[in-house]
Amino acid sequence: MAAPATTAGDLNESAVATDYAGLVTRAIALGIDAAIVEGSLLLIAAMLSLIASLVGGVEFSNAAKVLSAAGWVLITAGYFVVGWSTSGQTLGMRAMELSVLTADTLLPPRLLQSIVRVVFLGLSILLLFTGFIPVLFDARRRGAHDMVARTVVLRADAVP
Amino acid sequence: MSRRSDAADLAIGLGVFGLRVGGAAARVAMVSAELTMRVPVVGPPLRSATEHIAADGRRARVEAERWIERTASDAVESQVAIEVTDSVLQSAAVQHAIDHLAASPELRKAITDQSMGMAQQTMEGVRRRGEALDDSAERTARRWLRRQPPQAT
Repeated sequence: MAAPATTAGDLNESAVATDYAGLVTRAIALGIDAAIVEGSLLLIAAMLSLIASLVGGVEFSNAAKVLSAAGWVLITAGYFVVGWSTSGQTLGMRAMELSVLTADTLLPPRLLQSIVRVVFLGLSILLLFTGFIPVLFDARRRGAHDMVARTVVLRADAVP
Repeated sequence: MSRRSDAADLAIGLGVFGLRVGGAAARVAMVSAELTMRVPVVGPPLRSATEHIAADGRRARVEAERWIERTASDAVESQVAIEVTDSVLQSAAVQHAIDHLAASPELRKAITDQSMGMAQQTMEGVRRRGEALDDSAERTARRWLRRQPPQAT
């Protein structure tokens, strides 16, 4: 078990690598989050679709389809942003006992930081998850989105 | 205390006293029988007779067990038993008991606690395996690129 880190200063490049969450743990947490948020959205969409079919069907214009897709993306992003900037955890991260924190202060990221992180997380995923490769080599196990947003992902028992 | 209960207590007390005396007598008889069996001339035929009686007892016990097993099995599988079970399960008293148990906060709490415990155990296992795989993936990737492994704790 990793020795608990006590201060922000301890968690620099020379800190114990295993205090930071690795690739697999983070992937599991992301999978749980994706299942929760996408599952909920799919359920809501299915219910709306059923209601629409009962009242005679609703035809979406192209603009409405684009707006729906944008709303879908915004709700997904909002789930992560709200979780990170309020407690440093989403539900999946809570299940895996992980916290995303600002690298220098070890506090939950600010709203803007969380927005930047979620945008680059989305890009990392879109680019065939290549943004996660640095997690395997970085001393603080940061992904590309962590580096850009200046955040780290710590195990809960290492959070001071 | 009434006269009737005094008489009943006296009868029970006499019964217990009789059992104790009988137990003590049996213990004395066993000791004397063991001593007799060690006597050179009388001992061997007495031992043989005792073993014969014990063998009879063993056979009787095995047969009794088989009979009880067979009878119980027949009783459980009989149509009457099935009908009795059905009628008991459909009775108002049993339904009332089931409703009472289902509404019991203690039972709900116990079920919730057990479910939570199982979920927590599962997640604990997932976390442990995930952490082991974290280190393993990192070591493999670093070996490919011939880089230093992460610092151990």
